[in-house]
Amino acid sequence: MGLQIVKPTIAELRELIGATKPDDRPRHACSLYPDGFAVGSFVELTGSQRTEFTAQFLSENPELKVAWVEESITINPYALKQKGVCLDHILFIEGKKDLAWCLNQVLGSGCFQIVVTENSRFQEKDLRRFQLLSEKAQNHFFLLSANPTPSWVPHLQLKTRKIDNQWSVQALRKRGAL
Amino acid sequence: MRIVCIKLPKDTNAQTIAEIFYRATPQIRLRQAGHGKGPFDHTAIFLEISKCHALYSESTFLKRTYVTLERIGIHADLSIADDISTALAMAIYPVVDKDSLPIESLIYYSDPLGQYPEQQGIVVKAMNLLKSLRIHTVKDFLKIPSYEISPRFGPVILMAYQRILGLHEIPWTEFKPRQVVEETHEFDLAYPPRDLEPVYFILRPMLEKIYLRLRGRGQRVRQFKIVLQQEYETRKSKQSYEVPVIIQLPFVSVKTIFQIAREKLDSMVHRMPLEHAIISVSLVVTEEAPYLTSQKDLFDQKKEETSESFFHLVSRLATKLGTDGAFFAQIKENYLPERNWFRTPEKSNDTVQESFIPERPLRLFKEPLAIPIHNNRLVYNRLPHDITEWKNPEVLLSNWWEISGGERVYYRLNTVSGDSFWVFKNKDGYYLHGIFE
Repeated sequence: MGLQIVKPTIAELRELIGATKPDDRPRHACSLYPDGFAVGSFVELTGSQRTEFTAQFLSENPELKVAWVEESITINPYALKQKGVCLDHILFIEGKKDLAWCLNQVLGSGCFQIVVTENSRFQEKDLRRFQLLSEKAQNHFFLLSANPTPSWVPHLQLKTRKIDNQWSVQALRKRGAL
Repeated sequence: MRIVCIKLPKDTNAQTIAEIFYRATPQIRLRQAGHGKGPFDHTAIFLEISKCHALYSESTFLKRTYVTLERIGIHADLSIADDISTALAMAIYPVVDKDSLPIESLIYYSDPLGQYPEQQGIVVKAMNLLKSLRIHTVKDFLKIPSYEISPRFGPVILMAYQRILGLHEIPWTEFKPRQVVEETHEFDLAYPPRDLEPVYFILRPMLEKIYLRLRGRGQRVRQFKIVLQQEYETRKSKQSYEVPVIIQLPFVSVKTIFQIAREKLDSMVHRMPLEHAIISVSLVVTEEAPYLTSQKDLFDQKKEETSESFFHLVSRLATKLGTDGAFFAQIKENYLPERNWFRTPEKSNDTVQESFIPERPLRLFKEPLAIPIHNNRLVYNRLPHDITEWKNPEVLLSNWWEISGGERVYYRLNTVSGDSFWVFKNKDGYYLHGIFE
C-alpha cells in the first residue's frame, strides 16, 4: 500500500498559519455571485455571457455610478436598457488609442463606483496600475475578456455561461481576501 | 433714478467690462477714453440700478462690483448718484455731496459720455473765468441766476447748469453685448515670450473675464479656442497657432477650465512645437451653453466637490478624445438597431418607458461584418462555430435610399460553444451585426 500525499492548496496553507484575515470591506450584492463583490476589487469576467453578467450586476445596483470604457464602442445601450440597467448613471467613453490613459483618469478621479472595460491586450504593468487605482478609489473594476488572462493581477476570475436560461458562474481563480 | 459709475483705468475696454454687469441691469452707458492723455479723459461705465432694488441693495451692489472687478485684476473707483454726470464727477472727485464738487466737474456735466471732445476747450475757458470770479464749487456756481449763464458763458455751460439742476436728462440707449466673445493680450514686442509660462500667467485672468462676460448674458463657455500669434509665418505652420478646448459639461469653475486649457495647450505644443516667439494670445468663444444657477448646498459639500471633479474629468476626456469621446446614451424607440440610441453630452431622462422591441444583443457592431455560413457553420474571428439553432427570425426594413437599405432578416444563432450571434441575411449574403454576449 503506497503512501498518499495530500497537497494542500495555498488558501488552506494560509489558513493553517493564520495568514488569512477577514475581509471587512463593504460589498455589493450580486444574485449571480452570492459572495458579492468587495469594493476596490479587480474582477476579470470571461465566458460567453460576460457582458450580460455585468449588466445584471448593474441592474441590481442602480445607484452606483458607472464608467463604461471601450476602445471602440460596441456595447449596445438599448440592450442594456432592455436588461433593466439605468443609463442615467453610465458614462460611456470611447478611448480609441488612448484607452489606457482614459482608464487611468477614470479610475483616479474617484467619481465612479464601477468601471467596466474590455480587455485590449493590456500589459501587465497597465493591469497592475488599474488594480492599484481601483483599490485606492474603492471602486469595482470589471475587465471583460474573451479568454482568461494569464496575469496574476485580477483578484477574481469568473467564467460565466448561460444555457437554457440557467446561469453557470465558475470562479477560476481568487486572490487575496476575496 | 440711481446711477452707479464705475471709473476704470483709461486703457480698459469699457464694452467688455460692461458685459459683465449686463445681468445686473440692462440700462448701461459707456464713456471710453480716447488715445490722448488729457486730464479730463476717463473711461467709465454707468449702470442704472433703481429698478433692481428688489434684487440687491446699493451697498451690496457696490461690494459685489468691487469683488468682481478684483477677480479680473481691475482697480476702479465707484460712486453712486442720481444722474450720470454727478455719478461720474463723484467717482473722480471723492466728495460727500454734489454741492461740494469742484468747478472742474462742469466738464463732466457738459459732456458726461465723452462724445464731444471739441467742447472741452469752451468749458475749460469758462472754468478759468469762473475761478477768476472766485467760484470754486458747484454750490457757488448755482448761485448765478440761470438767465445770466447763456449770455455770459454760452449754451454749453447752460446745458451743464441745467444738468446740475437735474433738468436735462441723458437718454438711455440700448446696450448690445458683442456677438463674439473674445479677449486678446498683446505681449511687449521688445521681449516676446518663447515659452508658455508667460501665456499661462495671463491666461487665467483672461478666462476669468470671459467667464464673467458670458455669465453676464446668462451663458457658460462650452468650446473656445486659444490663438497664439507667432512672430513670423513659416512654411510648416501658420502664424496663428490655434488650440481648441472643449468643456463638455460646462458647469465647471474657471480654475478647472484653466487646468483643462493648460493641459491641452501643453500636449499640443509638445506634439507640434512653436517655431517663433509669441506676440499675442487670444481667447475666442466658439460655443456657449446656458448658465443654470443653483443654490449652493452647504450641508453636502462633498457632493458638490464630486460633481466638480466629474465635470472636470468629462471635459478633460472630451478635450482629448473629441466631443463624441465621452457621452451619455439617450434611448430612442426605433426598430433599426443602429438607430435606437444616440450620444448626448449631458444626462437627460429617458423618454422611452416601455420597450415593444424584441431583445437586442448587448454587443452591436458599428458596421455589420460579412460572414460565410455553410452547412450550419459560421466563421467568426477565424474560428468555426457550429450552429445548433436558428431562433427568433425578425424582418426589418431600412430606408431604401440608404446604401444599406432594403430588407434584412435577422436570426439569433446559438452555437455549440455557447455563443449566440445576431446575424441578418439580405440580398448580398449573411452579415454578423451583434453578439448576445
